[in-house]
Amino acid sequence: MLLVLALGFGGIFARLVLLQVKDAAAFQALARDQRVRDIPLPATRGTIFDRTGQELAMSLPARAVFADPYLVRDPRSESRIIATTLGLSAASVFDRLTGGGRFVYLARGVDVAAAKSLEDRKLPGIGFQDESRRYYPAGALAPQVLGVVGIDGGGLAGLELQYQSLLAGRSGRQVIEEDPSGTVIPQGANVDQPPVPGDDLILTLDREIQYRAQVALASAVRANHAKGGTVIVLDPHTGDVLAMATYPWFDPNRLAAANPDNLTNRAVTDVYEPGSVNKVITAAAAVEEHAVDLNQKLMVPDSIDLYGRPFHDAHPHPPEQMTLGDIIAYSSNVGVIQVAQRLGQARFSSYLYRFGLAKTTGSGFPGESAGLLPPASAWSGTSMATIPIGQGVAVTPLQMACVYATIANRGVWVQPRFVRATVGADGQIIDAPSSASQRVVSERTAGIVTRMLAYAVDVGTGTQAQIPGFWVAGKTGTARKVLANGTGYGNKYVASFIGFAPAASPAVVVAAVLDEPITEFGGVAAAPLFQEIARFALSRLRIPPGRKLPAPPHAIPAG
Amino acid sequence: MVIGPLVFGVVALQALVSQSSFRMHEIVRQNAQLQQSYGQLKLQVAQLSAPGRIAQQARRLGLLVPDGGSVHTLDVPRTAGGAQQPTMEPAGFALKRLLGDQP
Repeated sequence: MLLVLALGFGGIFARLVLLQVKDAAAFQALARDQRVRDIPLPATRGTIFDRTGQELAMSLPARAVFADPYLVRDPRSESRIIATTLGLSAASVFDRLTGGGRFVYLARGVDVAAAKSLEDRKLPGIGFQDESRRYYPAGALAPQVLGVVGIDGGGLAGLELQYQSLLAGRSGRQVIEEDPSGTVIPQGANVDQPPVPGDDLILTLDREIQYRAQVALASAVRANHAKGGTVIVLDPHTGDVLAMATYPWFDPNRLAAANPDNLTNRAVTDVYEPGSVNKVITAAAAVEEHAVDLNQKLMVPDSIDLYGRPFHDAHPHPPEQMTLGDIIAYSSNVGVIQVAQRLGQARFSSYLYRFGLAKTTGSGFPGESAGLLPPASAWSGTSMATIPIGQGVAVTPLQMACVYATIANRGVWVQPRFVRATVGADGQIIDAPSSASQRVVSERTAGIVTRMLAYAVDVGTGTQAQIPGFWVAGKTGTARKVLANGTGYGNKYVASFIGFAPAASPAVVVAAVLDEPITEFGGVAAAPLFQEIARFALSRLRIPPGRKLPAPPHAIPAG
Repeated sequence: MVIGPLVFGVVALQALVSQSSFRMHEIVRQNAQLQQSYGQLKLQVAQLSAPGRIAQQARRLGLLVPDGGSVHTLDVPRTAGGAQQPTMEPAGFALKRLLGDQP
């Protein structure tokens, strides 16, 4: 009897030693795994505000719903419940639940309340993950500028991509101990690493100006039966982009339905031949270099032959005496070519670079193009005819808007910017540094060219850009498009108008570009678009009208 | 005599700590719910105040955008120059410090 007891106790003791000493570590780990949960805490992505603090993009907690098809017991019934709760198609959920494998997402970015009601059903094989979902509360407002985020919350395009590291923040984790019923054990393991939310961005965009610019652009595209269009509104003194839109656009809240062609911010990434709006560079260079006297009258025919190639003005006219002011006001191609020849290739080409062509603006926007400008050494004989009138050179709309902003800013080029400030995790607002700037032409030259541009709107090709009560300066542009195969020019045009207001004390620069409008002339197609946007921007920013500038010397009687 | 009250004291203290811990857990849960609801409300405000929605509502009410000639600036608080810097709402950003680091 004693022996049996001794053997029994000996066995128990041996087992105890095995459990408590030899296998203790393994069992400890097993027990810990059963009661300790390591929960990743995703960081909240930073909000994107407009310049007045209105939300343009924001993130809210959401949940991903996934399944382990191996553990799903009744796929038909479960797929019905899941589809009803999450608003999905039962057939597609069923396909996923029966598709094999051990992990399949059923839905991403699910509203927390909907996910909770599904979780409460405790369906076998169905799991949940914390994540966040990006919302764009104003819908299709500046979608190509803001960009988009991927399903995993990372920026894929636009400012969402450019500022990914700032917006993303840093994830945290929480380690807790639970009892078998899922209740947290007090004083158990409790490691807390709170997530650090991403910085917020305060953009330079103004939500109201952006909206009105988009409404005007969409309406102008429709009215002119154009293929698309781009508008930019800039503050010429700070480089702040107040609005930027490319039509057609998309709703970033329904990214899956978007046409991939509409995702890019063409105002920054795509180039076009600017046409006559480029003449402002020729005029500014000529004034700065004293290549032409302001009172000097040039005899301008309606066509000129260079290296066997004819160049025409837009409309036939007898040879006429024109000053530089007339040439710009009436957008004479022949006159501009004559001025460029007086300037000479070396001096003229240097101003193209000074005004920021052939290099990115430095805004840092993803995919920004530098434009296309052949080096002066590679110019042909006719380049001194085509480039001064804006053909044979390609620019982004933003580059060209910056050229006019330079004139509006008294000859100083300012780097455009999209972000005014950031807001750190501590709520501190940190202003973005002022934009880089450089003098391109003297204040005097900028003033003279402004008078010419104001005269162009007053009596020249840009009369449809006039704003009642304000004095506007600007220039029309009509450029033939290069054929898709690059072999020459077709019969399709880009019409544009770029200008600023008020002419005497510029507050906004507006670039309006229409792609393939039925009426090719910039003064007819794009100037009214400029007018509508500039008029609203001036009103929104409460800009006083300013005084009228004296007309530049002219040989053609006004009117 | 001494051990009895001591054991009772330790047990009572343990019960208190556990109770507080459960309460804290519940408060953390409520906090998360309130934050979620705060975020939803912020989103709703942003959606309702979006210019597109305001314009749509205005059109439904029969309002029209005035033409250029109808807009007159009567009170000009600043001289001509750069675009006016609109005011921001720092109070909203200050909340980030309080809410941002919550799970």
